[in-house]
Amino acid sequence: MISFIMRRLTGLITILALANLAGFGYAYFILYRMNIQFLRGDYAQRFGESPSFTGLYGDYLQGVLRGNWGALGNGQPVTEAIARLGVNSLGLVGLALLLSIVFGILLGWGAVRNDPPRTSGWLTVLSTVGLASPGFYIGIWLIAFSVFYLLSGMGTQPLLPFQGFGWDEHLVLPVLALMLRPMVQIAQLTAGLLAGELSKPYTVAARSFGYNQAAILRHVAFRNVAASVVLVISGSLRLLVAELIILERLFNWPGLGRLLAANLTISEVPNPPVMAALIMALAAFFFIGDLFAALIARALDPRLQTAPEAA
Amino acid sequence: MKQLAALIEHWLRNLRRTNLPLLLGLILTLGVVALAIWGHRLAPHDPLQTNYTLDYGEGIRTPPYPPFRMIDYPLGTDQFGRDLLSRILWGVRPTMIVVVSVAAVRLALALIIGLLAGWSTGVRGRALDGLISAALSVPVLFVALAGITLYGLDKGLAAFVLGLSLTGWADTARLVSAQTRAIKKQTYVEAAHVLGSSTPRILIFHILPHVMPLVWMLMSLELGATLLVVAQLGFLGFFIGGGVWIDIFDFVQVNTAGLPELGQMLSQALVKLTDPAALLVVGSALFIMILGFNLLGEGLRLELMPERMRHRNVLPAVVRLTEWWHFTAFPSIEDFITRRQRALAISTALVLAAAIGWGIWETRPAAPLQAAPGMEVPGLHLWAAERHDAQGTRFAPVSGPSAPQILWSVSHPPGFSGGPVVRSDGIIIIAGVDKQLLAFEPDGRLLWQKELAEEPVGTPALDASGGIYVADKKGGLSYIPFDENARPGWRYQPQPTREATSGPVVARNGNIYYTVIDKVQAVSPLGKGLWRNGDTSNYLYLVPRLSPMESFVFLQDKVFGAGAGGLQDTSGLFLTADPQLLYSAPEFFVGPNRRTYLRVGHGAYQWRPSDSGMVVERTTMRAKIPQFAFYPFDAGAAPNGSIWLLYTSDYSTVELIWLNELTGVELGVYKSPTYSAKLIAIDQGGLAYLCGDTGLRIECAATDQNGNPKWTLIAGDGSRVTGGALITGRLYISTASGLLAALGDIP
Repeated sequence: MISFIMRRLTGLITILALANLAGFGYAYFILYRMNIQFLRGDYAQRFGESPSFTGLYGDYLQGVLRGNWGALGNGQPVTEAIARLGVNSLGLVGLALLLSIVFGILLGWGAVRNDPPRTSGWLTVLSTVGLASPGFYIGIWLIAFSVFYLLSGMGTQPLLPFQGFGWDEHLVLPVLALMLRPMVQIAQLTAGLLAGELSKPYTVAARSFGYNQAAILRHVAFRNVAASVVLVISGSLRLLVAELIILERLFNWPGLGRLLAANLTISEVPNPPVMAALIMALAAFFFIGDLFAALIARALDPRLQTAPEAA
Repeated sequence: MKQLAALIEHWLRNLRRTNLPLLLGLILTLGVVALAIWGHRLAPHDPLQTNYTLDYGEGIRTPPYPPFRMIDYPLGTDQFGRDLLSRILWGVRPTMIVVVSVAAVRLALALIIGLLAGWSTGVRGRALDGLISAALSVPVLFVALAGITLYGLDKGLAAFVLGLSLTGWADTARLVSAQTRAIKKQTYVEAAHVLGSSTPRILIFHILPHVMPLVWMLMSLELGATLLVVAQLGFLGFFIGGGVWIDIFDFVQVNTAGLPELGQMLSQALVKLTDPAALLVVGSALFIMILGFNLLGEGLRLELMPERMRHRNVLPAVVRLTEWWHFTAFPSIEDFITRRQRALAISTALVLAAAIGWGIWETRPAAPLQAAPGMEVPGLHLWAAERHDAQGTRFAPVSGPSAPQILWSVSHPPGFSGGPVVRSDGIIIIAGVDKQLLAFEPDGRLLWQKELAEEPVGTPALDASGGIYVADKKGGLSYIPFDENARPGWRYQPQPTREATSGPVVARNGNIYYTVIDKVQAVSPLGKGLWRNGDTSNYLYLVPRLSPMESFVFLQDKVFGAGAGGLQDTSGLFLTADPQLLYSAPEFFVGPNRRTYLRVGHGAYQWRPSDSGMVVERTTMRAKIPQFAFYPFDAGAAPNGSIWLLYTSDYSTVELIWLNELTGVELGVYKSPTYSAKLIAIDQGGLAYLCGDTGLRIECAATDQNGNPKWTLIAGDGSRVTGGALITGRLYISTASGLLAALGDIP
C-alpha cells in the first residue's frame, strides 16, 4: 500500500508540472499567438508585444521559486485567490458529492429486483431523465420556482436564495442542481452491479440458506461491488467539476469555476500565471480524488490489493 | 366487464414486455429528425423578426413576452421580441448538424482507438490505455472550451468538431476496447490468426462486425452526450455561426447568427434571472432532444441484452421491418457487397456522415430575413420620422428608384412644415403650415385631412401602432390617432411655453422626444411630460437622435440619459478633439451599422463609453481639407462604414463627400448646382438620394460613393426642400412652397 501511494505521489509531481506548463502555455498562446491585440492590454505593456515563451515562463518559474505565483488583474495574489475561491467551490462540490453518494446508493439499492435479477423500471426512467438534464436546466427550474413564489405574492422573500454566496441556505439550490446527475449515475451503476451480483451462484446459495434479499445485499453483494461504486464516484467528481463552471455562473457563486471559465475563454484577459495555477489546482484535485478512490477501492476489495503487487 | 379487465391485463402485460425506452426514443428522435428537415417550414413567424412593442391585452409591453399569453406567440419571445417557437423550429437543424458531425467524428475516433487499444498488448497497449485514461481524466467541457477558444470560435463547425472531439471519444473507446478484448479471446479469432490473417484484417473482418451492433447504441448515446455539451457551451456563450452583433443595451452587444441555433438561443436567453421563461423554453427543447437520444440508446441497450431477446415485444410493423431487413434486404446487400467492401463502406459512411454534416452546414439556406444593417422601426413603418428612424440614420433598407419619373405630385399652397412620413401600408402623412395634417394614398389621392390645434413644426413621427405625433409652434406635442378606433388623441403643453424647433421622434418604448429651441423635451406615450434638459442658448433646428438601443438622446453635441434626461459626461471625447474643431458645431450621429459617431470638423470620431469616460475608437478625418470651406451641414455613415459629409447652404452649391472610414481618403465627391440641399436617404446599395433647390425648381439626384450620379431629375417647381422619404422604388419629397411629389420607376 505504501509503495502504491509513493508511486502515485511521484506521478503527482510530474502531473502538476505538466499541468502548470499546459496552463501557462494555453494563456500565452491566446495572448500572443492569436491576433487579438486588445487582449494583451497591460500585460503587453509590462512584457512587450512578443516575448518568447521560454523567457516568459522562465521568469514566471523564478517568481514561483521565490514564492510569487503571480497576481490577478485586481492585484490579488493568485495563491490567495485560489485558496479563497477553492474553499467556496470545494464546499459546494463536497456537499453535492456527499449527498449524491448517499442518495445514489440508497436509490440503487432500492431499485434492485431479484426475480429475475434486474434494475427496477422506475430507476431506468429516473436515470434516463436525470442524465438528460444538464445542471443549468435543473438550476433554471429551481430559480423559476423561487421567482414564481415571489411574483405570485406568496412571499416577499424567496423561499431559498438563488443568488450569491453563503454557508447557509444559499447552498441549497446550487447543491440540488449539482447533485442530480451524479446521484442518478451512482444509483444506476449501483443497481446494475448489485443486480449482476444477484445472478451469481454464491447469492443463489445464500438464498438457499434462507437469507432474505436485504441481508444478501447488505452482507454479501454490496461488499463485492463497493470498490466499483467508489471508482464510479471518483468519475462523478469530474462531472461535478464540469457542471461547477456553469452553476457558479448561474447562481452567482464566487468559486474556481467562474475564474476558470473567465480564463479559459476570452471573456477576460487570459493571465498565464493564473491559468497555470488554476490548471495545476484542478489537476491536483482530480489526482487526489482518484488517489483516495483507488485507496478506498483497494481497502474494500482484497483482489485489488494483491494483483498489482504480484504484477 | 370481465372482457375489459382481461383486455387491460393483456395490454399491461404486453406493455411490460414492450421496450418502452426504444419506442419513446424512436418517436422523439424521429420527431427531432423531422424538425431538423422540415421544422423551418412550420415556423409561424420569421425567426429574426423583432417586435419591440406588443399589446397582448395588458397594454403595450416590451419584450421578452411570456409564453402561453398570446396565440400568435405560444412560447413567448426572446428579449428582442423574436418568436421563440419559430426560432426553435429553425434552430433544430443547425444544432443537429453540429451534433451529428461531432458524434460521427467522435465515434470514428473511438472505434479506431478502442479497437487498437483492445487488441494491442505490451507497451503499445498500455500507451493506448493510458491515452484513453488521460482523455477521460479531464472533463469534456473544459477541453471543448479550450479547444474552441484556441482554434477560434469564428471557424464555426470546424472549431466545434475539433473542440468536442479532442477527448470526447474516450468513453466510447473504453467500451469498444473492452468489447474487443472479449472478442479477441474467441476461438475463431485465434483460428484466423493461425491461418495467417494480418492484424488489420482480423480487426476489420472478424472483430469490427461483432462490435458494430454496439455502434448504433453508442451513436445515439453519443448524440445525447454531444448535445448536452453543446447546450452547456451555448449556456457559456459558445455557439456556432459567425453571426451579427445585436445590441442588448447601448454599447453592450451579443453575437447572434443570421440563423437561430439552440446553443445560441440559450446563450442569449440568460439576460434576466427574474424572467427565466425563455431559458426554460429553450432548455426544455434541448432536454427533450437529449432525452430522446438517451432513451433510444437505452432502448437499444435493452434490445442487445441476451435475456431481453427472448421477451422481445415490439410493434408488429417493426417486427416485419426487422424480419425483412434480416432475411431479405441484408443478405442481398451482403451478396452484393463483399466483406472487404463492407468494412470500407462502414468507415466511408462515418466519414461521409461528417462530411455531409459539414456540407449541409456550409450550404445551409439563408434566413428569409437576415439581420441587416439599419434600425428597427416600431410598427415596421417605411419612414417613421424626419430622418427615417429615431436614430436619425437616414438609412432605408430598400432599393430606391433606378430611373425615376414624377409619378404624381400634389400642391398644398400654404406649404409644408417638414417632410412626409410613410406608414407600413404605404400611406403618406405630412403636416401643412396651415394647421392641417394630411394623409395621402400611395397613388397620391387625399385620404383624409385633420385640423391641428397649433401650427406644426417639422416632420411628424409615427409610433408602433401608426399613431401620429406632431410638435408645434407653442412647444406642444399632439397625438393624433390614425383611425377612430385607436386610443383618443391628446395634446401636451409644457410650461413655460417656448416654440418647438424640430419634429418628434418616437422611441421603441413609446416615449417621444423633440427639440424646444435649445432643449430636448421628453413626453410619455400617455401625454405626460417626462423631462426637459439642454445646455445651450442657441436655436437648434435639429431633431433629437437616439442611441442604437435608445438609452441615450443626442442633441447636437450633448448626450442625455433617455430615462431621466441627465446630461452625460462627454469631456473625454472633446479632450481628444483638436480645440480648433470645437468651433465646427460638433454633432453626434448614429450609423446604420449601429455605431456611434461625433462629427467634428471635416470628419468623425467613432466612439464608445468606457470606465474612464467616452473614448474614441476610430478617427475618420478628411485627408485633404479645402481652404475656406464651411463645415459640413450634415453627416452620417453608410452600412459599409464609409462616412458622408454634406456641404450645403443657402449661398453655396452642394458637395457630398464620401470618406473611407479607416484612412479618411475621399472615395468620391458629388457636386450639384443646387442650394440648401438635403440628403434624403441612403439605400441598401449605399446610394445617396439628394434633393436641392436651383432657385426656381427642385432637383433630385442619386449618387454612389464614388460620386457618380446614377440619375438626376427635376421634381417640379418650388423652393426649399423640407424633407423626403425613400421607400422601395420610390422617393417622396416635400417643399416649403407646398409641393409633395412622388418620384419612382414606371412599372
